[in-house]
Amino acid sequence: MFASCAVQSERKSAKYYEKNAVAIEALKRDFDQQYKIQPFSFGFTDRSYKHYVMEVTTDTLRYVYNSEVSRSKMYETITKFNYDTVVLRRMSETMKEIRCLWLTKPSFFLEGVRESVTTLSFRSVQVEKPFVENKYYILIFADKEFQNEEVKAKIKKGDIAKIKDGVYFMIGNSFR
Amino acid sequence: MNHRNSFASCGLTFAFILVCLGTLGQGNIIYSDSSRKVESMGRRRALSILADEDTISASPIWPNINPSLFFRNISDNVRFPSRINQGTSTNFCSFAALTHLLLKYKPDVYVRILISLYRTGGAELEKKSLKPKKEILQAAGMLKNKGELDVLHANQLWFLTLADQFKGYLNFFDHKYNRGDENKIWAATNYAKFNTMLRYFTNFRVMSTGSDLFRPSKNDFYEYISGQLREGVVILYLNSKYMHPTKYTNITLRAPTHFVVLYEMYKVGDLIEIKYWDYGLKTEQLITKRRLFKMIFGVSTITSRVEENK
Repeated sequence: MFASCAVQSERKSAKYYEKNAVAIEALKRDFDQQYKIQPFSFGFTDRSYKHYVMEVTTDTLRYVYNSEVSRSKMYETITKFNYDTVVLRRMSETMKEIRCLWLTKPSFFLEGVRESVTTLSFRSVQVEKPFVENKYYILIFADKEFQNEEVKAKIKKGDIAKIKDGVYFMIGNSFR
Repeated sequence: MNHRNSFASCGLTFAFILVCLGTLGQGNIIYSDSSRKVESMGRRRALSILADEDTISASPIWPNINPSLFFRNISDNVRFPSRINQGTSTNFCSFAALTHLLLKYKPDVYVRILISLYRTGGAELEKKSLKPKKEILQAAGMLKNKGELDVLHANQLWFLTLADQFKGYLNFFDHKYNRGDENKIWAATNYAKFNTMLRYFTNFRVMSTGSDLFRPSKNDFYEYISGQLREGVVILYLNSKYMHPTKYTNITLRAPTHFVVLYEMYKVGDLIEIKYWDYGLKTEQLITKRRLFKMIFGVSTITSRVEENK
């Protein structure tokens, strides 16, 4: 009964990537370029996409600044690490346009070897309605194809869906 | 894959009210110059103990622990105490915070306990014996999909042993480890259990205020916590959702979920800048006074070493 009463909202799927591929690929290129300066994660925390959050990670310290709390401190961090403000602005505009919440490069281990991918998170449900669970659509960009059995099993099971070589998506409970 | 996923599940609190009040210490010996010398000596002692160890032969007690990964992990922990990391999607945050302090202030004790566990399957603390159950002996070295923890075999052995040997009311219905329990209530830590562990391991004087359900009854959290920082080492018991707030969720459960070690706190205009340790790094962050109030459920302060007061 509950199921029949629930709001039916369309979830993002592989089609979402195909529709926004040009913008997403450009965003990833900009992110990769700035990431080389100093590793960081970047995104929004509000529904209106007004306020940015930036997490810059060094060997010993992680700086977390939110433009809603202090725009000046965030700008100070951006200049301290010499990020290109034009590129960051372009990234934020693209993210807002395609409703991307968070950009990061998480690491994980496969058979004892550290691997890294780029992930872009979006709200999964396209229409914001009450009583719709929070799920996030996460695009995963890998520089190589993983031949690991565990990864293959996840793809087979449907936990991770392959869009094309090196591009996958999954649905998660958290966006960062 | 995403280390933030585990924030929400670091601890769980629903039922009882536990307000822990401890004893008061006598000034901040921990941050003094003489204390830094003691720490440095402790680190040298720890590395010297390690240097005398056979780091090649495997332990028959821990069949899945790789000796090379185990000893390298211990050595790295001693040399870089801030890098200790609970791993992705685990409920080990309390154990990681405790270990971070142990590595910083008593690294030789840490090394002795770890080696004793590895060689004999047990270790003696001042007030407690550690004797991990057989399912723990089998599980250590086998944790997967936990980020860097996958290859940190000493951390796997240690966190699993602590979760197995220290139990609070949150663990009442799940005492026995089963595969995957490191992400579940089996590994959760309530506030009283955390303070007990602090006292058992470090022999420090611990003062604590707060609970699993209600925030400490302090008029001004900034004044109180910054005062505690002048007294000693401060550990915060908090709701991590308020540390990294988003407006995508309609409801944030008002309960503590995480332990962090606080290093600095000062005012920047109307805001508060904090520097704290968790997940293998120190984090610098600006928060509002209101958010600080919402976030905090417990403040534990280690004021001095017991033996230094004798």
